[in-house]
Amino acid sequence: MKQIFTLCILFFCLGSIRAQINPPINGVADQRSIVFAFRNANIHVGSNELIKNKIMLVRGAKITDFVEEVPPEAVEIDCNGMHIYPSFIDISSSYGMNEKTTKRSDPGARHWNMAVHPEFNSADNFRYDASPAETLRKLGIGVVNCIQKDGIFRGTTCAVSLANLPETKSVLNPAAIQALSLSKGSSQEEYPSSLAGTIALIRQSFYDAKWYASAKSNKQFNISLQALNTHKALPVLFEAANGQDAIRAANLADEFGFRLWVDGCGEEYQHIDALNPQKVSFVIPINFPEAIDIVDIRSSRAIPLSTLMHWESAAAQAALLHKRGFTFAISSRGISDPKVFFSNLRRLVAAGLPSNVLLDALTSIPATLLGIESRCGKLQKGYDASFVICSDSLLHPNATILENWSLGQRLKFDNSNQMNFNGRYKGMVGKDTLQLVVKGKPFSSEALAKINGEKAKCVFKISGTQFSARLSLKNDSIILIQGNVQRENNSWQLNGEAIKFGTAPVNLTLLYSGAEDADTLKPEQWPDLHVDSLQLLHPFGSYGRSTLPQQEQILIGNAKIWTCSETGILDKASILIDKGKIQAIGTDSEVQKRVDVSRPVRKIDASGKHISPGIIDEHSHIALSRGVNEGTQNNTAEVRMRDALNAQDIDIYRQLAGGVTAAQLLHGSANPIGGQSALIKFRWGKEFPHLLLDNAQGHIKFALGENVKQSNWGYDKTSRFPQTRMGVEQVFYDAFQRAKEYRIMHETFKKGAKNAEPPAIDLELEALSEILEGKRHITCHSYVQSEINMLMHVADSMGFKVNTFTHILEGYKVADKLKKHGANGSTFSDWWAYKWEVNDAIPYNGSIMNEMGITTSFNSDDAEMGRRLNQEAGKAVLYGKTPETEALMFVTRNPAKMLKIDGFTGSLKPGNDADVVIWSDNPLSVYARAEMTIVDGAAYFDLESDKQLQLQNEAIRNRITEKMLREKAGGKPVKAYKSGKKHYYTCDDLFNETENHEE
Amino acid sequence: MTFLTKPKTMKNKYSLLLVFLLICSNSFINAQSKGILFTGGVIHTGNDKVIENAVMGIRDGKIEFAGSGTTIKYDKRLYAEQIDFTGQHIYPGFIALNSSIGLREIDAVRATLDVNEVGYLNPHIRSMPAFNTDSRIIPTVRSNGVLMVQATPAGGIISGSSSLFHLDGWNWEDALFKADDGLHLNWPEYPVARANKDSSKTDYIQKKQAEIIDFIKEARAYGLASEKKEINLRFGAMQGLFKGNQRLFVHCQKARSITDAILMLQEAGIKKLVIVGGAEADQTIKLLRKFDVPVVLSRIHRLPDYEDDPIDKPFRLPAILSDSGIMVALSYDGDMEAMGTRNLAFTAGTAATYGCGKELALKLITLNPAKIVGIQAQTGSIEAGKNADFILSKGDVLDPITADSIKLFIGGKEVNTSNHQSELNKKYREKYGLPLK
Repeated sequence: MKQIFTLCILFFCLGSIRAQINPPINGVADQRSIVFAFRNANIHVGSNELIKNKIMLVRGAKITDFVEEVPPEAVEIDCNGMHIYPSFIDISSSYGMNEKTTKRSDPGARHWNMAVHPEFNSADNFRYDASPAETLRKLGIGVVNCIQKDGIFRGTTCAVSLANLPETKSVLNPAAIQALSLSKGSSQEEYPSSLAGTIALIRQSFYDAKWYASAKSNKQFNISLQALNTHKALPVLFEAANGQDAIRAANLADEFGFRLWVDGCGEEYQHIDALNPQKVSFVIPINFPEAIDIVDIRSSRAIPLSTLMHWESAAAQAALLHKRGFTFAISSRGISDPKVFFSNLRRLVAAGLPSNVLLDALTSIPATLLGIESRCGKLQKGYDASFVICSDSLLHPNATILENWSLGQRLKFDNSNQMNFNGRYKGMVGKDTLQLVVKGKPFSSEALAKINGEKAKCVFKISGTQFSARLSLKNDSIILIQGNVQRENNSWQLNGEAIKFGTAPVNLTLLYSGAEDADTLKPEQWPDLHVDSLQLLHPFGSYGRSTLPQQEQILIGNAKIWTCSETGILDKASILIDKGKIQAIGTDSEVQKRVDVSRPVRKIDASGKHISPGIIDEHSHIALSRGVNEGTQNNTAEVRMRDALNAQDIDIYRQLAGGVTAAQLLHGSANPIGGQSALIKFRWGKEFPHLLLDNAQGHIKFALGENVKQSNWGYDKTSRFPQTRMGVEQVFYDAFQRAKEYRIMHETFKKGAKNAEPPAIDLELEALSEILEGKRHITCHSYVQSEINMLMHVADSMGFKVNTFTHILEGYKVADKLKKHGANGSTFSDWWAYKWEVNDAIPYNGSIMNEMGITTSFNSDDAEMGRRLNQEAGKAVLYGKTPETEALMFVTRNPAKMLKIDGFTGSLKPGNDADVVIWSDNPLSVYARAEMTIVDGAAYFDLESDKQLQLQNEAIRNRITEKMLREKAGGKPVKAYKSGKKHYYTCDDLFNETENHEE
Repeated sequence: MTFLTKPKTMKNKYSLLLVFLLICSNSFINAQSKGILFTGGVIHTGNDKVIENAVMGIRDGKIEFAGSGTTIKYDKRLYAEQIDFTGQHIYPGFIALNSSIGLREIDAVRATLDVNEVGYLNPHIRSMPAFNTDSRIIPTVRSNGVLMVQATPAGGIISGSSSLFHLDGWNWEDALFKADDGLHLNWPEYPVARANKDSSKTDYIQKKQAEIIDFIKEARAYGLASEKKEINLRFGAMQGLFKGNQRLFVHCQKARSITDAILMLQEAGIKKLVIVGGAEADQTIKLLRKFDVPVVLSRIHRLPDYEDDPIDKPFRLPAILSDSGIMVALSYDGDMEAMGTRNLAFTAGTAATYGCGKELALKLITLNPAKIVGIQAQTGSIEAGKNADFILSKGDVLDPITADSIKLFIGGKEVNTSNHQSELNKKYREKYGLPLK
């Protein structure tokens, strides 16, 4: 890079200088109240208004007027053919911020968690930084919002001008917005380690702030909570690391009533149906992914379809957001090359974004969000002189930023006072005719040459008033011409000499013979989809559908129906499904009568087939994002797995293919008191909030044994309490004792004791209180009899009940005690020998518990086995000789009972949810395939549509693969694909996928 | 210990005596030289055949004959014991290849693991002397019909040699069926979907491949040398590969890796190759056929590798390969593989559902693995002259709801179908007064 831009900074003194406020000057005062007049420019005063014939006057830091004539005292700047835009404003920037963050070791009365520092104020820490400022200004940006991008509560941000001014002058709004994220950043604290834990911490912090505002005599001093309250009214800019984070942020915004702007990752459009334009706005990045360098087709299958699809859809996001009525601003995040930035802006428009909306998204919208709309974002009299001069219209392929004015401070990127002598030239080199076309964007060094009408390779350089050109002729000889540019008779002339080596230099004069031919610009080609052809699949990726399965009236006849109810098995029977519910079951003739003939009915002849309720998995960890364990504390009852759902997990679809319709997604078992479960149905394609069973009661994970005492975590993990089963018991006594006291405190307050102050809400103790009140139900990971017995003792003495022991591999040893306590047992069919505490696990366990009258189920704790739970139930027949009808209940009605959802699913009864599976064979058999899986009366899986979806996968993959290969062939940049292997969670898993392990 | 009730099929006093003996000897029934005759049931030969109303005679540890009761001539009087198995089924015992049974007990307890040895090129390491016949896992796996395992070391690049063991024996010598049947090589896997541009990892893989090939060539040269100045244990352990009396089990999953492995190792002079893993073997069918390379598939009860793979891709793999004429066996390698091997037959059941049909599925865990390790002349199917290694079952052994092994025979000896788990079942059923099932 030869280019060194001449930095021309004219320092204006803004307003009057007063001692003490501004720094002393080293030298004499240099006040320049000069007026600049910009003439002949296309002035974009706002997104919808273009002024062509007026002269814009700038004096000091302000735009002073728009006039007809250039005032005599003004420095005239001729902007012929150029466009002037208000400076762009970037909301998502960490410009001017120090690496250093608030640390726990920082003094002061702060929040206990290092990742929570709402008291951090960017304006207190902001520092002008010349190099990044120039990089940003080259992109046309004049104002940025400085965010300390570290931690969860990141504090308040400030809007600053990029002018080289004392910080006191460049801060435009010292407290513009509040910044939040789901990443704890540099915090050294262990908590939170998971996504669910992070959201729990955010939630608790908001509750704490609320209490802080109302507390009187109990009041503590806490600058973090104080700051949260002070800035309560500010909009929140919430950083999203993936598409579904926008939904998480929106849920928090609803819960705590803040105005939400999502600092997007670019994938938000994939979830647009789940977001409300009245409630959510966006800052969107435009650093679109590059094509992937596909070399080996076989191994390219590892690239998820969603990654391929996002590549061609990313540029249409802005247009789609606009189409759906969302407000958004554009950020340059991830881009420092002006060429890329401008070409990506053009891609937004090519994909269907109206250009005025584009301009708004760069100027007035961010100005409004930052509260500086009365001085920035437009070019009007009295507004800041912060604008950019663009060589062309912003959307012209040759557009470059020539000058960036910030608060009246001029920054030029080209020597634009240099002469522009583009045009055609002609002259003689000895006897040869030389034609030269100087072209391209002004001041660049492009030229075409012809000698005697024949093209010659030409390298042309211009420096100041002097030029040089190297011509390579066909016969390999070289002619060097060099000289200077002069204006003769109102026209340009190139004077100099031509050197043919070996001969004497000859004088050369090239006369201007007219303007260069207008470039016929090749229409730019991008791989992007236009917003009108963007078909959003639900979910966005493999096996996604453009329209979700609908509830139908379905009549299935001639089937063997396993009702999993008192009705038992019905042979040659029918079942009618409508409006999401089971309407009737019985003989074909009985059920026929119930068909609503006024509406279409899908009739399925299920001769030779079996029908069962949808399988229910009591213990699953699929469909969860970024960690299933918040194992950093021994009690994390405040953590809610519903906050960390991932509706795009392909394993949801795979479970459906195994006839599974619902599951309890559990927190892991790294700590004695884990998080709250999410009960979901596998409504593949719906957004994650719609997977949840709204009518289900609360559940929570507890755990015992080797995991909670860290037995298999390595020999260095010996310090976290508890390390023995003795300690585990005390964790429970302690937790429930505190919960009891907490309840008393709150009940006393509710009863209205005089002058009582509201006690603080503690979400951890709230959850435990719910257990004591019987509103939240425990699923306890457990293995050996001693600990199972222990927890029942704790429960009996503290006044709560253990709803379900999960795993419970020694349940058979304490079946009588379980029965007495009223606990359920959800076990594995046949696992053992994977750790010491499962040494006495036996495959007869489920059958014995069942015969003892304990509600018994088999669960998976495994994404693969989850889809074969029906066969696992078959093993109760093999080992324990459990009758088949009862064995099937191990994975249908019994888990439904445990999860307290048996009132509407888990068995086939009129009025129940239509969660129904059609099997090719006895549902317990290894030979049975789920041919159709119906959830809420809609067929979310069936073999026929599965085939179609496979073809769709294949078609999309082929189409985009070819497109990517074409990109590479066309010389566009491509990148290697780096695969992150999917992580499958089990109970004792501390892995957090944000660390993105590479294969 | 008392754990055998009188089986229905035992009709004479001899059998009662036998039961008594069995009780005394804990787990073994003395080999009978007087012969046992089975009549009336169904024999699944493991060789695609189903024989209804079958008869089978066993004597001196071997199958004398097996066939249709209507065609085979036999003299009942020659059999001290006669078992009418009408309504029941006889299957060959299952063979679990690429197994760590006997080398692994409790996954999380290091002291109980003898699977991975230190070092990268360990052809001299042998599973044989570490095989623990008293593993508590063995009886639980045997109860479900797995009667033979290939105990396989797993560490490093060349892990060492496996041996075949009957799941019955006083000690490893006693249980040994075939020593050092083959060597196991963990072939370097290519990274997934990386472009040539990002070649560092690909280069690394290719360097590793070259190291292996060089090592093999040196081993071969060592074997050809007429005079050996010093004995090299590593090279010495590899000579069977070049003579063709040992197999090289090449563990790899991806098509690119399988392709390189076959082409390079053939070139290096390896006579008999077996691919173990083979997740993408369906993409290398031509090559596998050309070089006649069998595939031992990794546990098919697993999720597809890639998101848009067909949901049942691993389930279908045995049928896809078998239909293309490739010899396939099923393994149960992976997480919790030792204890989980009792589900080997159910993975065959899945293969049956997804295209194989029941008899071919059975073959994947009986005759095919026997062929792959070269013991098909002695065992692997119900055929005259072979070892009497078989299962007598109430129903279809590939399906959990019908599988119920009543009797197990290894080398003609009846072995115990119970295990410590069934004992605990009894113990606690007695405690609660539940019926013993």
